[in-house]
Amino acid sequence: MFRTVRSCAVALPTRASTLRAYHSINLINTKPTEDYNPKTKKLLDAAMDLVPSLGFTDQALTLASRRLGYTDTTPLVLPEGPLDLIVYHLRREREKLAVASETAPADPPAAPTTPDFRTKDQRLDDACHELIVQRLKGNIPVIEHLDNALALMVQPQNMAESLSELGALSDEIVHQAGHRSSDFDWYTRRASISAVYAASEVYMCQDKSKNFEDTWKFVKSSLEARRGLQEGVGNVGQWVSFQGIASVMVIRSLMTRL
Amino acid sequence: MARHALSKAEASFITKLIRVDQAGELGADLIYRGQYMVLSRTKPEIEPLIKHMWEQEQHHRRTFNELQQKYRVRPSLLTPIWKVAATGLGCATALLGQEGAMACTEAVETVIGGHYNTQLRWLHENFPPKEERSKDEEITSLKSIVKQFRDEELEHLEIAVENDSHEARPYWLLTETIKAGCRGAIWVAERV
Ligand SMILES: [Fe+2]
Ligand SMILES: [Fe+2]
Repeated sequence: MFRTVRSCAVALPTRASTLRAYHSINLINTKPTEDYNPKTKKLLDAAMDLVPSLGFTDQALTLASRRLGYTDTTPLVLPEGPLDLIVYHLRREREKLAVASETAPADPPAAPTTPDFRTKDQRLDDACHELIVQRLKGNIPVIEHLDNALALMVQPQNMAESLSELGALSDEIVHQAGHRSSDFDWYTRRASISAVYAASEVYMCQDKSKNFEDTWKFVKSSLEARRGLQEGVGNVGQWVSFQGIASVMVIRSLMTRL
Repeated sequence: MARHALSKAEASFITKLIRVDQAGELGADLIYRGQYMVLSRTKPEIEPLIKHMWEQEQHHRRTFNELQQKYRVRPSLLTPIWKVAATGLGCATALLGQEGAMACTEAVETVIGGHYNTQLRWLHENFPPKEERSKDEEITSLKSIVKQFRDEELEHLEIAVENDSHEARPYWLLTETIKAGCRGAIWVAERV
């Protein structure tokens, strides 16, 4: 552990070097989809294959169940149907992000030929940008159904679960981007990234540009707009007055993390 | 070792352990820093003693910061408040003089030492040495950290008593108030 800390202090927290040092799976942390029983997971995976054509629907679950030769009552283990499928999509995509980092190349990237004049915050933002884009690309296969999914997720009875998933995703992004904190900015970073991510996902739903170029630009400008606000904020009250009351809900959801 | 080797309750206990100990060691670091700032001027002869304890607290704090980051435990949301409270407590008791500072140390270390003891007992009960999963490196290292820190907190307690903590006036009111405050802070930091 000590070796890791020292190597981070010398080398910039480039993704490859920090990521390999910290495993997302250890004594306390599990993979996002690890808690599903294997049969349910298989059903959800099969249903996800049908989502591009059938959407996040009960039909997708029923058809997947039949194809697997399960009884027609099997999908009943997922009483929420469409919502369970959406939540599974969120967890599976978050897991892909975590796994991608673990299998990242071990060698640190070659020294840059031009000097790096970016500030620490800029480097962090650039790493977050890359990760947010990577995660949003996971929505492309289901993009036709994303607006329906979002509409379901923001219904009051589903809000707690949606926010908790959003909080977990922002934790994964901020951690992988190399941010290490034992202080209050642990929360502010995650809440900012949550806000940027949520806005970008909504933007992506209506993006008609080629290969979602506009969405990637939107992510970048949103991160830049927030960077100014991050600096010099020392306490809860100050921060909340900058970020608005929605951020309080995100913080509350971050607290549900073990 | 993956978490599925731990029950949900066990993972949750260890998470809280890391969060509350991190907040506690942050507090300890700042209490001693406050005392050092005052006493290095008013009472230079005990400066080395305070420094010795302060350096141990800094090591404790660094260790739990590393554990919190490694295990991706969220820090206490009230971290900014713990900082203000601990600095204030350290300075205020040191302004009462050496006896006041030592009474503060005695009270704080009594509660913290006891708290580490409770955690150590839990670790030994849930991970008895003969069990296979207790041999996991992450578990053995956590046990030895908690044990070492408990011993050092109790050493601080002894130093405080040897250096006239009981001479502080009003001794009882001072130590009992601080103890109650620490117990309250532990309760809150585990949850928030
Ligand atoms: Fe300590
Ligand atoms: Fe101590």
